[in-house]
Amino acid sequence: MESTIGISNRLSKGEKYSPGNLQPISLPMEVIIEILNRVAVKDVLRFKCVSKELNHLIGDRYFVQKHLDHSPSGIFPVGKQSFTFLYSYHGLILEMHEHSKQFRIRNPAMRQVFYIPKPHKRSRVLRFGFAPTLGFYKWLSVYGSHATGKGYGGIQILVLGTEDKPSWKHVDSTHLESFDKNDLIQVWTVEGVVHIAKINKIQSRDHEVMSFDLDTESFRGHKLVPRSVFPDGSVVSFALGSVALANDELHVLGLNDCQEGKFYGTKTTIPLPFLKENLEMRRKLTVRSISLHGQKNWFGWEDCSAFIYYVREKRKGPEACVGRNGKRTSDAYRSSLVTFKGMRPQPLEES
Amino acid sequence: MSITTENNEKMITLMSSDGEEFVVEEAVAAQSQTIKHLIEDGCSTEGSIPLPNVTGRVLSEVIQYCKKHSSSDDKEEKELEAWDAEFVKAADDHVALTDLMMAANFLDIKGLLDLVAQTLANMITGKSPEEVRRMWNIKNDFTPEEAEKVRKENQWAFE
Repeated sequence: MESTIGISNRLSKGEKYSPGNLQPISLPMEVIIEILNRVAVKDVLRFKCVSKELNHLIGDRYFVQKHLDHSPSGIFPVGKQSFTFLYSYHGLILEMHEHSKQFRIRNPAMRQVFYIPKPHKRSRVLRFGFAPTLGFYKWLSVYGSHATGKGYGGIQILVLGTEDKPSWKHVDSTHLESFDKNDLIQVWTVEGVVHIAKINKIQSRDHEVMSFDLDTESFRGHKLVPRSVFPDGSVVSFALGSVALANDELHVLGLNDCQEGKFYGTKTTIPLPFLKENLEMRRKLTVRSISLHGQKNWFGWEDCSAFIYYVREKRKGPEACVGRNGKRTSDAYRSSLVTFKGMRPQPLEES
Repeated sequence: MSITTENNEKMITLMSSDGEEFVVEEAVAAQSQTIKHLIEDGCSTEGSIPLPNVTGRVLSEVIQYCKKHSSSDDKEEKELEAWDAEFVKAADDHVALTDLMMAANFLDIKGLLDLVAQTLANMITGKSPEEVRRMWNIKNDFTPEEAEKVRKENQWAFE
């Protein structure tokens, strides 16, 4: 028996909430957090002024992470400016100055910026990651051994948030010695682990993946990815897993355990039916990588433009990155409250 | 008290804080993780399940939501979205929504929590700190100097 007569200790049905009928409610903190998680960055920042408790909460790194988890996926316009967009992570944007090659990290939603000290002069790959245990953002730079850029010399790490002006330090990277100067490397970050993949040029050799733990700042694994998994002649791209494109199908070998760098034993094949209708795209399409969260997959054309494919939902996403004249015009981005020691307000004229 | 209907659906009785009883299918009630765990622990076999934090008015709304969403497998996603939008609109105001939010939080019903939290988040978007204090009954415990400092640090968020 379901009663339709409701008894409320506050307002009865039909009674309106109005300033004259104001009945403030004391909310438990967990409920306040659930609501604030879904409020945009600018509004949340303003609510720091509500009370000491909210001010403290909004600056807390666990809240910042939760808020980021709720932040909707958006698009970041990659405009033509003196700083070139490289990529975004946790709402932070890595950019490089066109002439001085100065790197900077920017949180556009917070209007904050941090200028990164110069990495090794032969730095070839820069990757950004979050070390969850201590809550620091860390950069990894892989640099070449020769001025020609061939071969791999070593790795440097930069820890953000511990001091106002952090500096790069060297990482023991004897693992890199096995890398031949002709090998192609791909570097990507998942949940605090940076994976460095060596794509063997020699057809008879398997690919290799080394995993660097940002928390402990040490290598934790070295795995082989059998070449035979993918169709002959396909170009493999590593990220959350490894992917190859062949016969209008996406061949994916996912990472089973990103901490340990273990791959799934079985391969998933995802048909890409839209390629049949678009011959031009089929001819030009190459796989870039699977991005974080394993839900979407980036595809790139030869001219660097790209679009998103949602692997889990098996559908093509918005053409977020379709560029003109070979330039990317936008990228996926989620606004966040992420900030760290040393970041400073960015004057508007500085963009 | 556990009854079985002709359709072989197991029924359970929920009792609100103000003593109102609701007889619902177990599958409907079990969308609440809190109730689900109580059933698993055998709390539903003797009499009704007491829900001391939820009034009858709020509980009837929660049950409405759970009924709609328990039979939603074959429904169009769009239809369900439209129903959800109507549902929060019917809740009418900040106070009623907050009651619903507290119930969804206590009963641990993820879909309802998401829906109501998003609605409340939309309601405070664009509001001033003073308005939020009023809505949530929060005391401004900053000294004037502290208030000025925090405001200055986040000045652009007021523009």
